[in-house]
Amino acid sequence: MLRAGLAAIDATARWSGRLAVLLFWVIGVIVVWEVAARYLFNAPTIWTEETARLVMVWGVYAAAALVLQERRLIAIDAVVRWLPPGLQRVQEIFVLLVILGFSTVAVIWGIGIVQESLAVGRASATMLRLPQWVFELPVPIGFTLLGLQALARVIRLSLGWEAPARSESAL
Amino acid sequence: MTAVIVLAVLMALLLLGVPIAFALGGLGLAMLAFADISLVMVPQGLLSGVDNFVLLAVPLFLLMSTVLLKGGVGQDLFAAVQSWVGHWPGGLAIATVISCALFSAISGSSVATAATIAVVAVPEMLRRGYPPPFVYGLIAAGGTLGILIPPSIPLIVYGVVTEESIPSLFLAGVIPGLLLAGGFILFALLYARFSDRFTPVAKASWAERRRASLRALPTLFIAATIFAGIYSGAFTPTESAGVGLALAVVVVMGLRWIDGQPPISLKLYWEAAEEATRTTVTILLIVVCAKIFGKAVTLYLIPQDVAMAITTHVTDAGTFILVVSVVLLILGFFLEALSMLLIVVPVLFPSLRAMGIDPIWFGIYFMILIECALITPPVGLNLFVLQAVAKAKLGEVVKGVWPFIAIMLGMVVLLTFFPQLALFLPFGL
Repeated sequence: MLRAGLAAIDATARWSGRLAVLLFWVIGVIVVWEVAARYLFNAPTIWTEETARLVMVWGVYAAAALVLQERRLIAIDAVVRWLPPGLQRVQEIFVLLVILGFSTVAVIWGIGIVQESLAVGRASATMLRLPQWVFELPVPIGFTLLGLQALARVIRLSLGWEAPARSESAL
Repeated sequence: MTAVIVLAVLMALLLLGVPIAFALGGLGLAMLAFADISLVMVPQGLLSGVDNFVLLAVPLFLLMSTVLLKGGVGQDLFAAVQSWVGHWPGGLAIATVISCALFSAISGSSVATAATIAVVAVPEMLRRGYPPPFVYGLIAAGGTLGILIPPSIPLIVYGVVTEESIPSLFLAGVIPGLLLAGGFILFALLYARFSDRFTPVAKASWAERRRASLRALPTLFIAATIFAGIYSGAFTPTESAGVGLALAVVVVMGLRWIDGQPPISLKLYWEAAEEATRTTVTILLIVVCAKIFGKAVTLYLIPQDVAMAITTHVTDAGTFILVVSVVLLILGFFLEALSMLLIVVPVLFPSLRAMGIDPIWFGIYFMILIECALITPPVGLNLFVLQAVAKAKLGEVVKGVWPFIAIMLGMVVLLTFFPQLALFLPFGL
């Protein structure tokens, strides 16, 4: 039961990450469209800039949990790599709890701003007048996934189902 | 005093292995909560940090370079340059530096540049008898050109944080970047002259040169288009990244067609985007969390305190730059590029105006010191890249980078005495 739940969390992060990969290509298409519209068709658009920004907000937060799952967040391991395995486990749980705590705040207050935008019908200050909550929603959703991913790894590490691992990061 | 405590806690979190994004975000959050400020600033920062048209250039440039990489453009560039200069004394080393510089013009990342060129250049150079530490040092340092020669992701982030013009920053990086590449080449030439342990490459025939150059030419065309578009003001950096991406897709399709492969490979585009997505997210999470941290730090008046402390103790810009350089070099031993930029720049920026230092110049100066940070042990991302790609010992890589750090510091000195090196292209014409 617990294992199935944890596997479901992992799978959600993976699928959400795949969605993000698609969204990043969509950004590329939108920006190219804008340039082509302006220079080739001589008809600048009003929707591309804002839409591209919106897609990026969704894309970044859709993939955040996957990046944690794959241990790709950039961290400094120069000190912790010398810790004995037992302490490494404690250290990793501590790190994941920091992420979980941060995510919890982001979700609770994030839902707050979405609700407020819905209540007052706030819209973006652009020609498109998109409802503001469309921009705000990915924050609580993304950090829910991220927080769940952190929680899943805390559980696995505590139960000894997962060995502490070093981060693999690249920039 | 507050500044010291905050910095100490931040360092402690980072050394405990908390990912840089969450060390900054978590500490920022705690500072806000401690001062009884509404935590609604957290989701707002998380949104406004990403919701930025300029930052769209980050995923687009990354996508462009991963598409080109997966299309095998790294090998093509190296082969083309090698066919021209490979037979010179130290020719392979020179070809490596030039390849790094050329690849920097289509990639905004040091790590991507070092990794790409290392894959092709390390085996070739080792086979010809170049000593391993020299090879590793050369490529680790050559890779750092990626963030100085435009496009550059750290320069985009610097521009976003300081609200300076990114086209100006890009243009300002060109001459120092080329000079630095020149410095590396000069060192390689001298090194080759006083060492005769390696076998030179046979001179390539004109037919070989033509073939290799024709393959590399479309990639150079992409780099030239990006540069010309930004320089002329025809494209914003984001748009030039989009145009670069479209061209990259076309070029890779063409190269695959010439090689008799199916021109459209969905697998290639998917894998390229997977890579670009992951890197974008790791970068932007740091950027947004740094934004929350920056807000908190500002509410505690830390930048003003630092500016005050600096202006009372340091009166001239020269001393200021010297002090900042030493601090950045020390930080660079432990921090990687982006976190250095995002922690230090917001704190120091108010002091620049008081010192009469040009913010565009400061951006370029900062990039060179970040480049040093990328190759100074124990934490230097490019060192790890070489270690991973070349299966080398970290000690060997580290042994090879010192001369290049010296060259970079020489460049910092040169840039300090001749600020026009950076400012001429954006403002001098």
